[in-house]
Amino acid sequence: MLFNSLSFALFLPIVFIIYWFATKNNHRYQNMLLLVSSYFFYACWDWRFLFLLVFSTLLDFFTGSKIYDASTRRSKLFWLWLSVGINLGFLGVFKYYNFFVQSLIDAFSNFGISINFATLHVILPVGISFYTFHGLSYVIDIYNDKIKPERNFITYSVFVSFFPLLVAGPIERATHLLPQIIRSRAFDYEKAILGLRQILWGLFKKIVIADNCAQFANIIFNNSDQYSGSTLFIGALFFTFQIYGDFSGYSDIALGTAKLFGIDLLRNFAYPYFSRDIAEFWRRWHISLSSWFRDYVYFPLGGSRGSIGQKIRNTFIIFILSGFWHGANWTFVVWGALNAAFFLPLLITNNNRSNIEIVAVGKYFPSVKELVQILFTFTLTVFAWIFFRSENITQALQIVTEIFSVSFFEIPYFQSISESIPVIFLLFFFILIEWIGREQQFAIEVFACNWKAPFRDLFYYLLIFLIFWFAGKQEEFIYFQF
Amino acid sequence: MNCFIKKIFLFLIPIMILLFIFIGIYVYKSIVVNDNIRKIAQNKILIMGDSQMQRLLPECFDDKTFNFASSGEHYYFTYCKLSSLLQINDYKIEKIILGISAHNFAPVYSKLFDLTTGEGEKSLKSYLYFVDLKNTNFISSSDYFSKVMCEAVIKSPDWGGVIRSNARFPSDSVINISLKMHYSNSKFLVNSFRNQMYYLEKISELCKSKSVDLYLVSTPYHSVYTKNVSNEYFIMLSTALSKLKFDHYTNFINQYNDSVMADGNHLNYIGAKLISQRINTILPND
Repeated sequence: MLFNSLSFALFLPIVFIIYWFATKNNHRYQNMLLLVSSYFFYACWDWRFLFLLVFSTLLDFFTGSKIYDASTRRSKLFWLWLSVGINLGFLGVFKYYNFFVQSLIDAFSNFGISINFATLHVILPVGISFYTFHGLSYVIDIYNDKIKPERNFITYSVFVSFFPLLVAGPIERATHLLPQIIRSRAFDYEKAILGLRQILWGLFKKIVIADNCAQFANIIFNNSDQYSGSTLFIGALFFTFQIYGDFSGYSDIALGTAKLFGIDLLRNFAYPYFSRDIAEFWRRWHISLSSWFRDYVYFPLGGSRGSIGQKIRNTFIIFILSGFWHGANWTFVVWGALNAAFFLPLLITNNNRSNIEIVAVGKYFPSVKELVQILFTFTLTVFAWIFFRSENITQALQIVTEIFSVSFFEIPYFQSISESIPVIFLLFFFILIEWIGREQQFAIEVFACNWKAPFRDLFYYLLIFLIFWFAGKQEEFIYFQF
Repeated sequence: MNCFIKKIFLFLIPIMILLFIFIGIYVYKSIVVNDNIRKIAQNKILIMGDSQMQRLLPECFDDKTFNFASSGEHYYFTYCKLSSLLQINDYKIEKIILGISAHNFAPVYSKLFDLTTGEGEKSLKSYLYFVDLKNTNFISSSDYFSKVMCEAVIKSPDWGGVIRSNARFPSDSVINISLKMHYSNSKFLVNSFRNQMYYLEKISELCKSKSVDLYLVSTPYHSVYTKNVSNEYFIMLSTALSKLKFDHYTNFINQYNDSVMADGNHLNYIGAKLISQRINTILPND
C-alpha cells in the first residue's frame, strides 16, 4: 500500500475516524488499533514477512527486558549481542548475502579460480533496514541505561511498527517515540491541520517533483552510453531532485500522517540542498539515519576525538556503512566513500560545524558567498548521486568520464526533451516555495497561513490541481527498497 | 474534532462538485454512445480490427455493412466494442470480418494495452466509452483519478471507419516508419502475444455464443515490409490461427503486387476495392 495510492487514501481516513471516535481517547485502545492497522498495512505488501516483523519485535522486546534485568555486565552484554547478532543476521541474509557471495565469486574468478556458492532467491522484506534499526536503538539504549524497557508488548510493538514509519522511516528512537505512545492522546486540531498540510506538501514532492523527474532521469541513466556529457549532467540533476522529492516527500507524508494520530515523529529532512558545505548537508539529509550512525557507531568509535588518523578512519567507517545500508552494491559504498572524502577536509580543519543555522535567516536572498557555497555543495552532491543511481561502477565511471569531456559543452538532447520543460518550471516553483519556507519544519508549514481564507484555500487547490495534473506514472518510493 | 471534520468537508466541496460534473459528462456521453452502438448493431456485416481493416469498403458488400475498425486497436477494445454491440436486444449482426496478421502481435500492441505508456493513454481516450468499467484489466483504480481519465471523459470516442488513400508505390523510408513503430521495443513482445491471443479467443467465444460468423482476414503487406518482419511474428500468427475457432480465414499476404499498397501495411483505394470485393465473394449468401 503506497502512500500515493488510492488504497491508502481509503485506509487512512478509516483508521483516523475509528481512532478518534471509537477509542474514546483511551490510549490502550488507540494503541491496539494502531497495531492492528499497522500490521494490516504491512501485510498488504507481503503477509509472509509479517512473521519476520513480529519475530524481530518479540526478540527486541524480550532481550531488552533481559538486558535491563541482568545483574552483571557480562550477562547484559550477552543479551545485547544476541539481539544485535540476530537482527543484523536477518538483515545480512535478506539484504547482503547474495552480494557477498557474488563479490566472492567475482574476486576468485579474477584469479582464475572458479568457486560455487548457492545464492538465495528471496525478495527483500520491505522496511527491514528501518525496523531493524528501530529495534537496535531500543536495546542499545537500554544497555547504555538511557531508557528502561517497555513492559507492555502492545506499546512496544506500536513503537516498532507504527505504520507511517514502518517501511521507510524516519528511524525512530525509543527515547522520543515511546513516551508518546505510552501517554493518552487527545485530538489536537492545530496538529491535525498541520499534518494535513504536511501530507499535501509531501504528495506534491513525491507525485509532481519526484515521479516527473524520474521519467527523465530513467531515460538518461538507462541509455547513458548514448548521451553527451551535458545530457548526462542534466540526468544527474533530475535524479538529484527525484531522490529528494521522493524521500523527503515520503517523510513529510509519514510525519503528517503521524500528526493526525497525535504523534510527532523525528524530522528527517531540513532543506539539504540549501546547505553551504557537506557537513551541513549531512545534518539536513536523512537526519534520522545520520544521527543513528552518529550515536551508535561514530561516537562509540571515538567520534572526532583522537588523532587525525582515527578521525579519518571513523569518518570513512560511518559514511561507508551509511552507503552500504542503502543497498548491497558497490555503487552505494563508493557513494558513501565519496561523501566521506568531501567531509574530511572540513573535519580536519575543524570547519565541520561552521554552518549550523539555516542559510540567510530572516533574509530574502543569500549573500554571494553563501550562494557560491550552496552551488558548490550542491554540485558535489549531484556528483555523488551519479554513483548512487548507476547500476554499477562501470556505468558510473562512464557517466563521470563523459561529463568531464568536451561533450559537456554540447547542447543537451534526450528522448522527450520537450516534455521536460514543464517539469523544469515546476522545479523552479518547488525550489522557490522550499526557499521561502526554509526556516520551518516543512516548506508550507506557515506559507499562506496568514492569507485570507479564500486565497489560502486557492493555494491548496492549486497544489492539489498540480498533483492531479502532473501525476506521472505511479512510482514506488525509492527508499522502500532499502 | 467536529470542527476539523466540518472544515475538511467544506474544503472538499468544490472537488466533489468537479467530480460530479465529470460523472455527469460521462453518463451523458455514455447514453449518446449507446445510441450510436444501437444504430451500428442494425448492420448485417461488421468490419473490425485495426487501421489495415479501416481500408475495406462497406459499399463493396452485398449486405448492409459497417466498417467499425479503428487505428491501432488492441483486440481488447475490439472485444469491448463487440460485447456492447451484441448486448443490444435486436442486433442484426450476422458476420464479423476481423483483421488478423503478423503485425497484430508486434510489441506496439502491448503498449496500446498499457496505461503507463503514451500509446495506452491514447487507447483510453479512444475507447473509454466502450470499456466495461466493472470488469476491466486495462484501468486500475488509481487511473480513475488521473489527468488522462479526465481527457478521456471529455473526448469523444473513436468510431473508426473507412480511410481511403490514393497513395501508391511507397518509398522505403515510409515503410521503415511503420516497421519501426510496430516492432521496436521488443521488451513488450511476450505480453503482446499473450494479451492479443487472450482477447482473440474471447472474441471467438463471444461470436460463437451469439451465433455470429467470424471471418478472419490477413490483408496484404508490401513486399519490403514482409521481408523485414521477423519470421517469429508469422509463427505467432499461425499459432493464433491454430488455436482460434472461426468460420473462415483468408490470407491475402503475398497474393497481390505492391501497386495495391499505400504504404508498408495499408492498402490504397484500388487495393481496398479489390480486396473488399474478394471478401464479399467469399461470404456465403443468405
